[in-house]
Amino acid sequence: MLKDNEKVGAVMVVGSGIAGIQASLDLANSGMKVYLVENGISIGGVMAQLDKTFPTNDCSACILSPKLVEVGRHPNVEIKTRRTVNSVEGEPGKFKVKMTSAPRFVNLDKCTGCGDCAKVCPVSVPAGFNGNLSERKAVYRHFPQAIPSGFAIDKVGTSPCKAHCPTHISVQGYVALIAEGKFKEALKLIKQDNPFPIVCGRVCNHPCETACMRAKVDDPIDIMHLKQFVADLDLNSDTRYIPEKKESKGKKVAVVGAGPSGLTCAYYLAIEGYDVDVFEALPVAGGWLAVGIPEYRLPKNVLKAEIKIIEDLGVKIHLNKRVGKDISFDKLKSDYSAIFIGCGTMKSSKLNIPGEDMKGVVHGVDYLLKVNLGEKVSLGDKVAVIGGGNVAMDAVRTAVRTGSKEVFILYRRTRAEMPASPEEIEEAIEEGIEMKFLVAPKKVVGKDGKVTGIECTRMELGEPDASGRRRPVEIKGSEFIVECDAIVPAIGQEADLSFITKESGVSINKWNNVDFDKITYATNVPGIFTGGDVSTGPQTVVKAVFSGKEAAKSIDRYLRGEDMKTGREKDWTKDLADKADLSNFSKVPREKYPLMKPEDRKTNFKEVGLGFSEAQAKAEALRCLSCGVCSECYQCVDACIAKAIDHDMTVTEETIEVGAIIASAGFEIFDARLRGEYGYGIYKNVVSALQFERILSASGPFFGHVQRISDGKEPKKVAFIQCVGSRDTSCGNSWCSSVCCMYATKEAIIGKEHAKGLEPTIFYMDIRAHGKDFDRFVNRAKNEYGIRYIRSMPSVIKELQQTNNLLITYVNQDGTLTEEEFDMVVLSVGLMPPKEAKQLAASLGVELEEHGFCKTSLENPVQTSRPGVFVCGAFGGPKDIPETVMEASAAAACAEGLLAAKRGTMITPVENPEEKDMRGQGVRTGVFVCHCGINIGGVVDVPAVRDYAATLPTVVYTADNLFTCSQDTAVKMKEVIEEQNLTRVVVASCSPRTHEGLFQENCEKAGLNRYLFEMANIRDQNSWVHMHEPKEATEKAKDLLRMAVAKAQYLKPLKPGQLSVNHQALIIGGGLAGMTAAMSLADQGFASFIVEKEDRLGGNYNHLYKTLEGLDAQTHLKGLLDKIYKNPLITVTTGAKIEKIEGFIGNYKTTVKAKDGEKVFEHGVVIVATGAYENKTKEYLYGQNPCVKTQRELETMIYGKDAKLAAVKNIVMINCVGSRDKERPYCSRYCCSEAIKNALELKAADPSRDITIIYRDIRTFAFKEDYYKKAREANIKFISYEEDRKPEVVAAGDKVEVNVFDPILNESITLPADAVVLSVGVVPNPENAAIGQMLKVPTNQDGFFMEAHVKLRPVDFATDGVFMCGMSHSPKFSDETVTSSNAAVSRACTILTLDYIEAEGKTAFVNKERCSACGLCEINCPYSAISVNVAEGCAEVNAVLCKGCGVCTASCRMNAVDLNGFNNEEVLAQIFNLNEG
Amino acid sequence: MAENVATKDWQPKFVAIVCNWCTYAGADLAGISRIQYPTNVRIIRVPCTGRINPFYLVKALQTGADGVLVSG
Amino acid sequence: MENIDTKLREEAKRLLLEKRVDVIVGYEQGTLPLTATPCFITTPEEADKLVWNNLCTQNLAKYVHDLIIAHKNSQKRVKPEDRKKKVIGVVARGCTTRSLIIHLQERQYDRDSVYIIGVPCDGYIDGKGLKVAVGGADISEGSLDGGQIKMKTSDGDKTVALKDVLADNCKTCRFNNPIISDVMIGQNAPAMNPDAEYNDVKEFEGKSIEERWAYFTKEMEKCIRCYACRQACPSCYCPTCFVEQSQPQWVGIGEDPSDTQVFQLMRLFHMVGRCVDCGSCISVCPMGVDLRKFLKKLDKDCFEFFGNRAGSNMEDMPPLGKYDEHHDKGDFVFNP
Repeated sequence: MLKDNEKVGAVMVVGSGIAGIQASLDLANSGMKVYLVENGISIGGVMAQLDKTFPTNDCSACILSPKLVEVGRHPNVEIKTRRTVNSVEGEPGKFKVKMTSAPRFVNLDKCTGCGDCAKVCPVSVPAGFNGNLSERKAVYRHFPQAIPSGFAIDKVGTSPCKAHCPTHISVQGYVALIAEGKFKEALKLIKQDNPFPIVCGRVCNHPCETACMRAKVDDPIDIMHLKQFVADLDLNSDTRYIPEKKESKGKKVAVVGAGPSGLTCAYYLAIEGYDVDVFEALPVAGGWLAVGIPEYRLPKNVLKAEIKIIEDLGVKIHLNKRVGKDISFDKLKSDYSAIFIGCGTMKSSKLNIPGEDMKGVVHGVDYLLKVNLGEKVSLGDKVAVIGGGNVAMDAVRTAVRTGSKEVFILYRRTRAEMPASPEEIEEAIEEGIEMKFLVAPKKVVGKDGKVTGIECTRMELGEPDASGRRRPVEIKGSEFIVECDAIVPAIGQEADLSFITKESGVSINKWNNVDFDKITYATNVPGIFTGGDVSTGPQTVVKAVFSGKEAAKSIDRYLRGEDMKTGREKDWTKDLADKADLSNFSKVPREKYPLMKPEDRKTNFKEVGLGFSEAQAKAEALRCLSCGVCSECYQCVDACIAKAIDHDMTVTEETIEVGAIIASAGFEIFDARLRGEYGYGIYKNVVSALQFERILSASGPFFGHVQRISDGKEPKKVAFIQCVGSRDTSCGNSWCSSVCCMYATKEAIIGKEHAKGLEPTIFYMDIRAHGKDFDRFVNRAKNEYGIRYIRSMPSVIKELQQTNNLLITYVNQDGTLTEEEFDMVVLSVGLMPPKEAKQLAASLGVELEEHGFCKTSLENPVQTSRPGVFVCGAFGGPKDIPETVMEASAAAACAEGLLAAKRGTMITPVENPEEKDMRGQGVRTGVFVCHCGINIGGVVDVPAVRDYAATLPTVVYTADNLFTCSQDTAVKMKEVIEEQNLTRVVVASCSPRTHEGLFQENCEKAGLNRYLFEMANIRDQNSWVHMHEPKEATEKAKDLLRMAVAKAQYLKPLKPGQLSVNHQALIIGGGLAGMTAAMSLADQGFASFIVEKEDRLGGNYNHLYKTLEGLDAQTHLKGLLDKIYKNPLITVTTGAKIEKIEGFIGNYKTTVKAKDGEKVFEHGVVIVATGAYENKTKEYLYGQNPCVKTQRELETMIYGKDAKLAAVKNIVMINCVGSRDKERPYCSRYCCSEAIKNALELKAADPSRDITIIYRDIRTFAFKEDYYKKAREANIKFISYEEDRKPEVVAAGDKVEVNVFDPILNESITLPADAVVLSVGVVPNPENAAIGQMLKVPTNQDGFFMEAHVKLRPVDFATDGVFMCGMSHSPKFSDETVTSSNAAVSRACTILTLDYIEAEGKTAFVNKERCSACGLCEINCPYSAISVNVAEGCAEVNAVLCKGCGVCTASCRMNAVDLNGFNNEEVLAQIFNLNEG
Repeated sequence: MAENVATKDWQPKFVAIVCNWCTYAGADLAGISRIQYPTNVRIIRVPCTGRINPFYLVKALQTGADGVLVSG
Repeated sequence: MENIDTKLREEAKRLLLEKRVDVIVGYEQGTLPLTATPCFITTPEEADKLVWNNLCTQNLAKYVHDLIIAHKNSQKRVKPEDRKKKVIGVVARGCTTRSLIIHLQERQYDRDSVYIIGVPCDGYIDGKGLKVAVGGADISEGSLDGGQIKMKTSDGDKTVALKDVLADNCKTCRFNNPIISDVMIGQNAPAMNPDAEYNDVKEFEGKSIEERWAYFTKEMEKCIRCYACRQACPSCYCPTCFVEQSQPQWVGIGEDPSDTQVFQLMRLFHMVGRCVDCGSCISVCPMGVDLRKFLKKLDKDCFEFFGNRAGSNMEDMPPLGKYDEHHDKGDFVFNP
């Protein structure tokens, strides 16, 4: 165990759904530093995707958003998105957590969330947030209110095309841009990495296409010709794209050779601002491109046009200047700051066979050079070209065009090994060229020194050689002679390096190439660089281009004196985006690239390729699979005004020290495709419940309009199928997902509210409405909304072809089959462990339970197998939001208990400058009008509103901002307030409900009291709701702004009140809930008083022996009692009655009457743990016949080893006795499990026993379902009954009989029983109302206490400082009670840890002169915050209690009470300014 | 006013004095949901309808509002 | 009546002698014929001035409030231990006690600060009505004789039946006898005619909105904003009336008719559940504005919606003073 002072006062919360958020807030509000770690790009989890929440149908986003904002803005919470936890070392109190941080590619400090990036992003992918029912861009955020609000870019690695392109152009990027019709942008993108798109669009060997993933679906994208398409568009446009040049650097660089590498080098150097001279020996520029590649492949004028751009950049090309002859290399060395050698390999390699010097042998290079320079070369009729590369193809096809009749190729391997590009080969064959494979030349045969033929031998393929191709092996004795007039060997080229002098010191290697560094392309001599074929031997154009580009980068760095190597080494294949699931893509054939007909092209040098049309180009580009998601087209970089995009971000590692960890990784939705019989993923109108949730959502893909996916029509009949992926061992999910019955009911209700004609049907096994008020909700669905519930599980769904309707076959209760047609089917998919559960568990060092969820302790459901690591929410098992929130708070409490000593040590208090002295300044108002991107600016004439503001009284400064909420505007606002000496700030933008706090902080940072701020809501309540009336919306914006400015005049600087806090707690009730709360408080160092009205502690827990899961409750209770009585911080008063409770949050005084007299406790908070009681029933002969018992009585007999039990053989259990009826229309939650627990126990003791459980619905939710299954396997019988057809118990001698209608047999049966056991359920503590009255807190219609909010504040009361736990809230299992108690403590600690409670500044105040002390305000105040001081003769406000509702003000005839922040002058100023003037 | 009503383009002007927690939030939600409604209403936010001094209604009408909506 | 006057004077003397009260607010004979006027009796000797008859118009609760508040304010400057209590005796008929109840409910003073000398009431004479009854002649002398008023006027001797010239509020009064008192002088008077209480209002309600609005406008046009109604009203006791408040200025001080309407509307609103129909405002209005029509309408509404009659007993608080979150019905929002 660590000592307290060695611990760390910080907690890491892993997973940021509602569980993570709640835990973070509780921790942060109790003085802990919190790291909220999230895998994704924003927080909120699944709750953010939900439309509504049951059973109140509150808007999920509405109740979640404030929490998102609060946690997002909390100074003690650091949100870390895109993080993966790798390992956790250390011990409770001090862990070292190693994490990987994946890049977001958007700088959150700069991003304003404007969405301009997404607008230009060409890549659309399915929007997972909307259940893939809509698309989003590669740069995105999930929803507009997301926190962090910034965007993120999805990259799943480098797309293979980009990785394999030697120049690493963002291939996917320009393809995507072409698909969007952004051709200019595409060209610009290409030219960032390759100045030769015209060339490479024609003659590239396109390794990109080889790597293209589309090839695995059908054919690769025709990337090369797409490039040609955009390059040609530019070529033919009036204003061609010339990149912007940087300022001149005043340095000269010489380039030797005007081939692709040299010109590329020159191009990028010129852009960098260097003066470049290119020296070329030939009379044309372009090198091999000009003199090697034939006209029909690369027309000369096109090449010239491409080179012209380079010249336009200022590069001087000196033709006919051979270095070494026309100008010496040494002179270059002395005249230029750097030299690039890129002179290529212009010498043909020799065959080195006898007769090579005969007339008629023309080497390929020379041959093409001559032809290309316009020389007429006639080879004769029959020409043999030797070689299989592109030069061979060029030579052979040129020969065809220069009039040779029979031209053929001799190649020593087969076609498969030919290095020439396949289309070249294809086109050559089309042109009638014969290819003789596995043939090698031996000697030239001639006559009179002139060629007549060539002697060859046949070859066969042997073992693969170094290049991976199979090595040709000569077949002995297979020589033969091929007759021909000319032989064109095209087997290779060499460099001519004669110009490089020895004195220059440039090292030349054994292959006669210039030696160079593989990354920098620097030679051994500083200042001299090289690239292209001269350095590597003959290679491709793109490789030459790449070397030129890289050399230019080196030269720039060299000339600037920087290190040339830093950060340049990159393995492009390391992070390939080639893992995509291709199964969803259908085949789309490759666009056929149009060629001139063979017969038309054979006789001339016209370009063979005709180029794509625009439509073809777009169609071809659309075939792209977007392997990398982000295409790296960099459009976003240009579009982002805030300069927030950074594509160079990389994966980083970080280590953080924390004292405890809370895992809240949530859950995964079951993939309904695994239940193939329902056709999910195949039938369009079969959707998952989450998809339907998005369909219902106003912010969803269809804006809340309920529609079918197939045709967009509003469905009428919708079937919900429950338990898809739950309670289903066939897919390995034995558990019940706990929430589906309720969410299906909710979706059916909301669906019906959205589409009045909807007829929902829910197919279910049991309706599990086991939560607070859930049964009422289901009853409403049935009775008020007419939703049909059918107890049956459809076995199969068929789609009807014509209508896309769905035919469901299901079995009725009586065994008959029904076939019914539905318009739409919603699958209530279950909750699975999160995808990363295994990895996360391993990293955190915690165990998973058998289903794959996090394993938890039986005593404390938030404790994992590793001390110091806690779990909450669905990661620990499927559960609903309130339980999740309770667990979150409970986990926070446990973490705090561990780290209480270090509370407040890691947080940084917010410090604001002193408020400035405004005396004598008068009212000086600054107005900021927001465009909100286009949200406001797109409708309202913002500049006009801004100008109008300037005309208003008191306004001294106006501005309009693109985003007033952005960080830079915040800085600006602060400066303006200071510079302009503003005393009021008015922002016209969005809703004060979301943004007031942010702007108020800006004011505070500038020394302006936060209450001197006012907002005009010109977005949510103007531009968004008047989108089609820009003129009227502008007028309204002016009105709203005028009203706000008028109000602002009267604003007053306010100081919130403070109230001291007593750090002790009163706990009402000493059952399991109260005891756990006391222990938890003590762990955190807070004293508590337990007041129990019985004579002993323990409450209902005294009667529990074992839980369903096997916890020995009595041992647990004993341990707890022992600890309680030993703990000096806990004062127990039993047999006590609360007489009165006085005071309010922070300062309570409670008088208790105990046996030993009256006691008075002073405390700061109250925890209500009044528990509940077992229902006392009179039904089913209970109390009249000794055979009829309650489950509790049975349990006592079982564990008390009662001898009478032995004779009890036939047992009938009846569930829902006194629950779910008219009098108590709620479910008691635990009875089903209790019945099964006892039944299993009885059966285990004596398997011969006959046990029947008569039930309404079996509600063994979550993992309890396993025990239900076990019970069925143990042959315990289950018979269901309806409320209106209850079973009957009649006495039969010393036994009883139970008559019950069996719906499966469809008849009444009689069950003889030795014992009838009743599950009698829970009733609330009858004293709740009285205690509620003392505390001024309400109970609900059933008599349980009413929480502040059913979903998000389950243990809070609306009244501050009062909390509840255990069954005072609703029926609970014992472990749930423990959780709720810890949760209540966590909530209480947010107050107990404070020295002072700060009140809201907007509170009521009394103008004494006007007050007549009539006391109406006192009567009407709901918070007891105002009262009449009789001696003073006027009313007084307790500012801490005051919530600023203003009821007192309205009741005051004298207008003596007024409300700060909304005072009469302020509101009237708004009213008086409704109209202008 | 009577003659105004007769003319077709006359539009009444309304002021809504609404509770911050429900109706104002609802009006924001209408915005988020892009529900379109006429432009002739001006919303004044108060912390609770209980804060509304009856004077506000009278003064709004006196100032020229054709109707006052109190909602909360 | 003679009998009552005597008893009243005896009681007053006793109270003053025994120092049970510091001052008695009652009525004395007026300087003009057929009038009575409020008086303040501080010595036993003065007690003989007191009268009680059908000429006693004013609601004396107004003076009780004024005296007590003035005393309270004067005591603010005195050390707490030296502060003195002042007890006001008041001659109170039904409506006066209703006003006193309202004051007490609104914690204006303690019950033991006031000694209520209850008197039975059978209505007071509406001065303006009397004038009309005598055809506008000047009255030089007059006397009350049973149910008759005998007068010498500029038009000669005239006799008018008392019941014909009673104030409207008195004719249908429901509470003509004191509701609370410390001592009762004489026997309770017979009931008036409360069944007809809302007859006028019902007739008015039967009219169209336009007609009602026209009537309101017409009546308000008469108002010269002398604020006499407010000054006379026992429920108008605010330290600073809203019409005199600035920051904010609720009501314009110019001649805009809408400002007059606002003033009257708001004062009427403040009377809901607090107007005891004592007629003080009517009797003092120099312009004869029909305030009672509107006050009575509000009174009716208040009774119908909230079951409240102003000051009808100590326990029943005015509507704004008995707000109950859990039990108030929500259906008080209604169409006019």
